[in-house]
Amino acid sequence: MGDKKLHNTLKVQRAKHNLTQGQLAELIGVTRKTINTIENGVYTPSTYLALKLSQVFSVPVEELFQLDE
Amino acid sequence: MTTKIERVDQQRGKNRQGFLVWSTIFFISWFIRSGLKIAEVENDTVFTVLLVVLIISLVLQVVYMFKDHRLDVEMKQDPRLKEAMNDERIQLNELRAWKVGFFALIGFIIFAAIVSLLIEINDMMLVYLTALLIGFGARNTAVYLLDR
Repeated sequence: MGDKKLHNTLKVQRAKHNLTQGQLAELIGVTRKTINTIENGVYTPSTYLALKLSQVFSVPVEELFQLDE
Repeated sequence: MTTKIERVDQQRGKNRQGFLVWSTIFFISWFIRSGLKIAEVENDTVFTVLLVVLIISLVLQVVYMFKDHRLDVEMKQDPRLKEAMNDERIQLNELRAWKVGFFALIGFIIFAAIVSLLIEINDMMLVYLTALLIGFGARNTAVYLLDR
């Protein structure tokens, strides 16, 4: 994809909001495996899904996903 | 607590696994049978056993397809569930799986072309059907492995 790795704070945000992967998946309309692969950096979500996630946690999308400095 | 999405996803995974196991058995029997036919081996007992295995595995594949169809009906009744079960990662995996299937099919056709230079293949329909089975089987295997 590129030389910079994409990191995310999904797990931290989930813990803050006391949500399981399954509950988060239900909230944004995807499977639990999709949340799991995003969290582990296996799958990079589309802008649409990233925005949906940021909406659920009420944080800017940059707070959820960051590129290596 | 298991959500409805999780339950259906797990069930779909089990159905795919069952289908894959029986389609692999079907394919192996098919491949052996085709090989024996091309090599013009005549052994009624072996052909009968292979035919029985082919029929049993085909019936069980249909059973798993029917189970999968029941899940499809359940998904159609719940648009949110249907959307979740076809999310963007799953759609991407489907595309990747078709790509794998296509290359497997091409690979087998090249293999068959090379083999046909060494031995004469009279039954080309058998080769076409085997190529289709390999392509479809590779696609199903890829869907299962990518979605694990």
